Amino acid sequence: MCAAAALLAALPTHAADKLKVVATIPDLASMAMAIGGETVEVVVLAKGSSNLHQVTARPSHLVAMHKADVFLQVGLSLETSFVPALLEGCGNARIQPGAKGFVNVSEGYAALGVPTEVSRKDGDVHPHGNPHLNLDPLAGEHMARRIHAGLVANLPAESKRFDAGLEAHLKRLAEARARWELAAKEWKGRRVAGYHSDYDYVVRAWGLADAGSIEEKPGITPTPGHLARMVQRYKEQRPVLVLVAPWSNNSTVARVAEQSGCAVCELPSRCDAEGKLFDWIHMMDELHARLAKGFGTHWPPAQPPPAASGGV
Amino acid sequence: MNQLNVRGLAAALVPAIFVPATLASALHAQAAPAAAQVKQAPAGGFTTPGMPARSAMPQQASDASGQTSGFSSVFNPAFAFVVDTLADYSDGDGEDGLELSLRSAELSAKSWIDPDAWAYFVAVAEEEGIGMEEAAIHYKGLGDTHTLRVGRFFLDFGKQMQAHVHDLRTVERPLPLRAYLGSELGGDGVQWDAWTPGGETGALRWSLGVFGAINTESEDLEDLGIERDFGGRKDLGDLAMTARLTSFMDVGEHSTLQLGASWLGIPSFEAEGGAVAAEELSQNVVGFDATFGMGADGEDKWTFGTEFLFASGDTTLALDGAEDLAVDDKGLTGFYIFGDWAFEPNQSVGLQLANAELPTAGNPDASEIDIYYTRQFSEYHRLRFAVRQASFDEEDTFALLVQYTGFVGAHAHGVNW
Repeated sequence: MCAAAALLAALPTHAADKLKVVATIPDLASMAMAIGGETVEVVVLAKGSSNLHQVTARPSHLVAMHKADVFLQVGLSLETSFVPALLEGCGNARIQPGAKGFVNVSEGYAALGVPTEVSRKDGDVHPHGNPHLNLDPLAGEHMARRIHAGLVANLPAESKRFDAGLEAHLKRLAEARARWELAAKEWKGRRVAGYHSDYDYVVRAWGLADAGSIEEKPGITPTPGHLARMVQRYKEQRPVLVLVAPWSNNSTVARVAEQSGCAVCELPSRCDAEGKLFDWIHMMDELHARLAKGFGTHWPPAQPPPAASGGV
Repeated sequence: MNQLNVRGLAAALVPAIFVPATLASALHAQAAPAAAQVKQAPAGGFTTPGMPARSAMPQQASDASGQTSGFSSVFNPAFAFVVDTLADYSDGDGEDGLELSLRSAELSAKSWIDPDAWAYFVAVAEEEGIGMEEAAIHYKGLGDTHTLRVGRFFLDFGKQMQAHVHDLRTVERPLPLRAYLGSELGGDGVQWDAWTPGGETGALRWSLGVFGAINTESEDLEDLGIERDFGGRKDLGDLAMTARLTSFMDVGEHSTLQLGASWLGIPSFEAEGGAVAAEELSQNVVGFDATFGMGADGEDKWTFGTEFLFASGDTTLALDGAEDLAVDDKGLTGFYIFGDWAFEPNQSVGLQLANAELPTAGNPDASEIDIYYTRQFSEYHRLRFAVRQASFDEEDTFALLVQYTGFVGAHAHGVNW
């Protein structure tokens, strides 16, 4: 809570010499502020908890992008509903793809679910892989390092400050990851289902068993036949914990859960730009706490986490 | 094509088609080993009985020479295809009955030419034939927020005229736009477009266009056998011009407001009806539009909009027998107002009221009331049901419309303002 308050206190003050950073989601903004501190002025585009595939571009987005020195996106087509049009219309060469101000944090990360064939018959296909990288407990260091590199490239005079910010952030991250790993030891092999593919990275990270998603294909409303099959499958594999995001905790999920006798667990889908979950580590702590509650295990973990040693 | 894997697609076909350039380069890199395997495959390959044997895939010229050439596909543009179908049942004083039609099939391509310019075309096959609706180059080298557009493209008039009909919120363009500007309003010319931020939450955009030809059709006049010609060689002072000024701003956390004013001036055009023609005609259309959108992302969204149009000059044409084309210099007004409610991210309903004085003899009043429901099955296909009550010269027509539209490939638009 204190860290979130500190980060919120560092919100834009419009100082002329600050590096102007635009982040598509608060997750990236929180990391940029943790690494850049007072040196950066960060604007977030998608503040709420809605489906990122349905965010609408706004005039303030266009203006922020026009003035930005650095643009941070998750990539993997996560922000495809609003970023391409904004990049095209913002009139800012500094942040166009290929320029040093354009930072795609998923670059270089081994994405899940890269399709072997790209066809719309598979629904809302993301050709580069599952785009929900901001929900991967193991991707924190990769994202932070990508952001750090972007800040250094655009303001090399402050590189020592950015280095120190990164080091402090990675230390917090290592401690947090130790917590998550300890909690997740009790979850290995537990069956989960999702409405969408938001939490596939969590499933991979902690060895959960995927019982299949309520959506038959990503982005496509499930058919009655598919829902009936899923209800039957969840019944047979009970207990199945149904993981949903705030945007996907809908009446279909409630009906499937009721008919199959499974519990629903709503998890955060990204940081909250205006609430207590502004900080990515806090958001992931909350995600693990809710998972622990859903599984009926301990949070915080019963044993003290091992001391952080080396990398994360 | 669906059965090809990514490597196969990249190796065997065109790496840049249907995928962004960055992905294309990645796929191309991945595809290199697969392409090498293809080249090593023995001649013959898979054949079916009775069909001639095919040789193995020939090497691409670029691979063999180590150069990109006129046979290389690596710089090919991104293509998109749109199919727009319509079922229209009408009952009233005009045409009755059911009509099922492929309203249009659109093929478009788009690609960067160099760091400062990109080009595109939009070719459309309709009932009347195949036409090149747009083919233009956007030059961005004048400055970050400036664009120079050269070629054939939709005129910057109001909020809706820049969009193709299949991209609209309604089955057809609103009545006054069809009456004074046409269902589609293209032009051959040059347009300068620029914008500037207005504070942190708003922006001001303007454009000026000069056109040697205007490509538009008026259903009302064509039904009477009158055709207008806005093209041809002409003096500089006779070139058509457009101007638009619009502001776009955030209103609170979850709302936006856009206000705009547009002008189209056509100093010289000809009209022909029956055996006679009229020359040295002129016309002006001025429009004022406002659009207000509210609702947080992922929640219910409301959009309200209106546009008022005033047409002046030689607006009214009528055939007076076979020998005389009557031209009336008359000011005409029209407007539409709408409200749309997106109660789900993929479902919306709307109501639109429109009224216009038509550019035909006597300038009869026409009005339309549209109620429509739109369902997006995914981002790439959409079903729309609409009910229309149209009144024209004391005649009423009721229509039930079902529109089904599919989008294939790299179909995308910039920020529409």
